[in-house]
Amino acid sequence: MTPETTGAGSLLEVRAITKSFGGVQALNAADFACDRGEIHALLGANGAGKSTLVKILSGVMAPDSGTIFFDGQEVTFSSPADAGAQGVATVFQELSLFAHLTVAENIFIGHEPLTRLGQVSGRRMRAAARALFDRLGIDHLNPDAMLSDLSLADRQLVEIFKALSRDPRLLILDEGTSALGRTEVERLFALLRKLKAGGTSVVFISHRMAETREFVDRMSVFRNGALVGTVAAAECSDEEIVEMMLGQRVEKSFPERSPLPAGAPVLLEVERMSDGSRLRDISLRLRGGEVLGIAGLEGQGQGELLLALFGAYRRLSGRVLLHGKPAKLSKPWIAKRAGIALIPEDRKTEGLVLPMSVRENVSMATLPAYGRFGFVSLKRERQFVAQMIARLEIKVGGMEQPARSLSGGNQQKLVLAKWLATGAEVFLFYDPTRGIDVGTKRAFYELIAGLARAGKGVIVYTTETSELAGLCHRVLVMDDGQMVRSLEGRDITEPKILAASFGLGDGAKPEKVPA
Amino acid sequence: MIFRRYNTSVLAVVALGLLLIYYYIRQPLILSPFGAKILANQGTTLALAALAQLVVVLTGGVDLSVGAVVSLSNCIAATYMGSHPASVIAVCVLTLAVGAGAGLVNGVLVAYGRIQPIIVTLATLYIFSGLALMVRPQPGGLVPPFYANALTGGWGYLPYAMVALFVMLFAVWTPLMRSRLGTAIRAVGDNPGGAHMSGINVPRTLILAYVMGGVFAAAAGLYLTAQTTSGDAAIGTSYTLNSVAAVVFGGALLGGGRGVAPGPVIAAYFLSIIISVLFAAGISPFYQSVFQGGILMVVLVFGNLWTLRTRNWLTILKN
Repeated sequence: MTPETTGAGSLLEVRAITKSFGGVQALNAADFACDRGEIHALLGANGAGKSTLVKILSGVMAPDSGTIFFDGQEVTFSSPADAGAQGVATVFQELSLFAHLTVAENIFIGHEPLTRLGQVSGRRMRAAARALFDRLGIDHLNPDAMLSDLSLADRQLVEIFKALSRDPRLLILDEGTSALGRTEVERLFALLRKLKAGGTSVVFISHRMAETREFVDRMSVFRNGALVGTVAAAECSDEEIVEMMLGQRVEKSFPERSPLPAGAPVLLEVERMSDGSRLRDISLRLRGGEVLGIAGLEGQGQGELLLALFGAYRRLSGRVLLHGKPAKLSKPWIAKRAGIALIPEDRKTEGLVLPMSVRENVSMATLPAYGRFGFVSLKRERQFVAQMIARLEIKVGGMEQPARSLSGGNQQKLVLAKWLATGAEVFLFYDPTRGIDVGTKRAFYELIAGLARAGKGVIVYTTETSELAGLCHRVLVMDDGQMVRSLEGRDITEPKILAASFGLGDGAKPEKVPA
Repeated sequence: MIFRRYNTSVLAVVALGLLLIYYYIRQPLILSPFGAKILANQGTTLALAALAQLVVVLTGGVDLSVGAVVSLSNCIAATYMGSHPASVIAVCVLTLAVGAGAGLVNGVLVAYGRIQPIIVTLATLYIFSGLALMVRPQPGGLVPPFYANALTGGWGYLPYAMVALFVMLFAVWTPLMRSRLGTAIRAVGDNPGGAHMSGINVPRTLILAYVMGGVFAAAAGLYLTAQTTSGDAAIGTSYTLNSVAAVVFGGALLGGGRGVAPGPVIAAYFLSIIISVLFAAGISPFYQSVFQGGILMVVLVFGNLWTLRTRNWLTILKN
């Protein structure tokens, strides 16, 4: 019995892994190898398949096909517990922590030190936590603090300590440093290098290439669910990496951008808005007829920005001006009355009431307009809804059909119809085309362009860089709650947006913008 | 720092304290060995039922069958106990085992049936109530006086009810909650996906939590048997919702993950004693329910005022 083995250098080798979700191929015969005692970065644009690979390696999901070799043996990771037992520990992108447990309980969950009577030993657990903190030179964390009292950065540290507490042979960090400051990242990498010297391998996914590149041995670039190539970190330029990530692009067709009229009024102005954690000193201006794109890696505060403009947060500092007048957007209904519409991220829970009919969903935000004395005139409501269905070309069997039975794209149109009805001036789109088909996407682009032509202001946050490049008059790039770059006119290209998001230098050679 | 976990019990402690002070002003006799015994006996069944509910609530579920298990164990105990000490002990053990079995059924259905806990336990509520009726179609039964006295009597100012409760708390509850299982139960209620990703066996944790709940509900039934010295298949009904009220009042989150024993136990005594207090205050029995509900509401709203300071209403609405 001789199991198939791999080269002596590789701790982990993945061959031809395939995984699809519904019709979407997340990984397509992807290969990947990581040596013993190396720090290996995984790179790729949103949707390249990195996170899916990490989930397979950590036992969260099983691949459809393909083989994994770990330490020379062919293995399967049937569950996170199984992967952990075999020596793989993962710091997940979505934190896997517990708000109501203490820091020490979070770190040692499932393998707490016990007393002789089988009870969790708080004393030994605290001591072990402090020992871990010392290894990273962290002295501000209290093992007895409740996790819910910690900042996002500290939670991320806890997540890292949690993985380290298992003394893994392979440590996977999935965007594990996005909330950490520069000094913490440096300390972390100092520790990772120590681990590496002890033979531990580290697979690292970070979008902050500029910060982390110097610490990394090799980099593997993924695109469309497959490995494009593995390169030594020291031998590859920023331009080459961006090129590998983008590859040959499929041209999508976008509606023609309407020119921004010179004297277009400023609809919305934000001055130095902060929320104390996820939004820092945000300033922006939106003019009538403008499509403003918000770019950046996922989770850099874009969602918080849109929600803040829609009045979901309280106690924000800074000013918001609507039509030049100060506005206090402290509740969603106040924002709605002020003419702001949010087409939210999750249309199924925040945008629509799925069991209710198409009619009820469309008229929900404007019911008082169809009646008198608090009663709704069904006839006027129906007229209006029919008008909307025709205008947005929503494909429905009838207006009494439940919203649940519609396709994703048509559901998204319902959300838009609801807000068009309110007569809003400013439209906030939160990743509007996620999970909808190409044809509906195209229809959606038309709608966004149409809103702009009608003089409305549109702010779009989307994870698809091509949409930003194709639709927007201006693109603001966010990183860690701040606006780090503003791109206009011919500077709005995919390589430049991507490069700015990753904190790299300009992805393309600087072009002269005609004056 | 570690005491912060117990902060959630403060509301119940303060409420019970105020209630007892008021009761003492109205009825000074409660400060006597006899009064202490009466007070302790009144709340112990609900306190045990509240612990049964708490362990399930910690996992993020709710157990509507608590009251039915109380009835079932009351009927089994009062029917088969006999009068010999050996048979009494044997039947007590059997009753606790039946409670564990009831919890096992709930747990397996929740963990592997992937059915909402509220629906699973609603169904088993009917089943366990039916079984109680089969055991004892008419109220009655035989409970030996020494059994009743051992649980409801007292020694000076120390009611035996307190001894029974403390034994269950410190010999059963605390060791279990301080084991890895206890942390796992809270972790599963807090963040089930995270618990799975942290390598916790989520189904096993859920099942054991429901089993533990069943044992505590059966213990509540055994205590009730000592108090009433008879069996009645309908007697447990009120304990289901009152145990939920005690758990919430005692600072546990219905969503799971947060809650410690002292709060719900003390809240259970509050909820049990308040009826006598309303009587002592001269409030007509016709209005008692209204007052009882009103006081509970005021206390809970008061306790929740702080959540309204949140930055984002979505976080409140999603909880």
